[in-house]
Amino acid sequence: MRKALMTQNGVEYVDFTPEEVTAREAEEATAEAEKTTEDARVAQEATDKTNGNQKLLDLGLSQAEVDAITK
Amino acid sequence: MATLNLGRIKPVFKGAYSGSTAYVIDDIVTHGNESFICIQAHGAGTQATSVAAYWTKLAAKGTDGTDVGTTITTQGDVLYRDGSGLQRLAKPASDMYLKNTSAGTPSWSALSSDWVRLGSGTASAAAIFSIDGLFTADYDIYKIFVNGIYGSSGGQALRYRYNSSAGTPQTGSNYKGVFDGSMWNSSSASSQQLGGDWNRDYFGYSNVSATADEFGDTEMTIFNPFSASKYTSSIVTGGGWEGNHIYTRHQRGSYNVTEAHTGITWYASSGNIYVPSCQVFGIKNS
Repeated sequence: MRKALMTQNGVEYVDFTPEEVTAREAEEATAEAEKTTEDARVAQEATDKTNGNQKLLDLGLSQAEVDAITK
Repeated sequence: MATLNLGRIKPVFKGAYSGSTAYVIDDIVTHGNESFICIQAHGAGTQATSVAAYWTKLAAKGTDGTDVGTTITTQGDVLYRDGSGLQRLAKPASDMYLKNTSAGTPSWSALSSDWVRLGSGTASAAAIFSIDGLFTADYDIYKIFVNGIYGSSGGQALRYRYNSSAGTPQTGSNYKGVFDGSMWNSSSASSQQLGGDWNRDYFGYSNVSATADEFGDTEMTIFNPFSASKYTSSIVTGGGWEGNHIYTRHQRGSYNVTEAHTGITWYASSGNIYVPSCQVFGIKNS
């Protein structure tokens, strides 16, 4: 792993120290876990939206009426 | 055969006037950068050209000119006039522009702007991209343009931190921010997003695409990063397109600790980032 450092003198690349590599890998793992959680939340939200829409249709509303109250 | 004396039928140029020469009518002389014609003969040394009964001026001289060649002497010299006369402004030691004051005093000056580009560059295949050493006491407000940023893998969050020293991002849990965004996709479907950070160790505001031709651009305004007595705050607009959708993000962030920051570090939540162009400008303090 390396960092790109831009200063007044231009861009230079500096390799991560072992400590920085460890910290970076831990942060990526955390981010991946957060992304998995967020993806699940978004997927559940989409499922809820679909199910809710269907339940409203089952109650006799037209799709236009559903859209009018949900969007 | 009888001889008929017609007298002079044309003037005779006699050269420079001499007080030791006798002149006759129609002799022409020069004197004091003027020319005169004799209208009455006279002996040597008796009548100067200023005596109108003997001489008539043929050609008067004009006003004396100035030999500017004695004032400007070197390639690049500029001639100007001050309160007393012509003056020389020598060429500058480096490329500069001519400046003049309302009082009429010219001088060489560097081109000045309230917007100053402090740095620019590109980066590729880096776990983090950091700008540093560009924040100084000369500026309170900075504009940063990151053009076409993308990552080694798509769908990752794009984040940034402030640097507490050269290239070292500050990871204290002091980042407070809020962002909103919207998306429009190829099916003409949209979605909106609202998120934020409260005492996190980074700011998040956008995503990165995995390909260079799916642009992801960011315009940042950073306030007081170098101040040790004010919070560093930011207004960020970003967005791009990825796969089947285009998106936009707006973020407002504040780092709620009064400490000086020397730069900013961007990174993706996972993988490397690529920065085809980054430009940093400072807006001069008043």
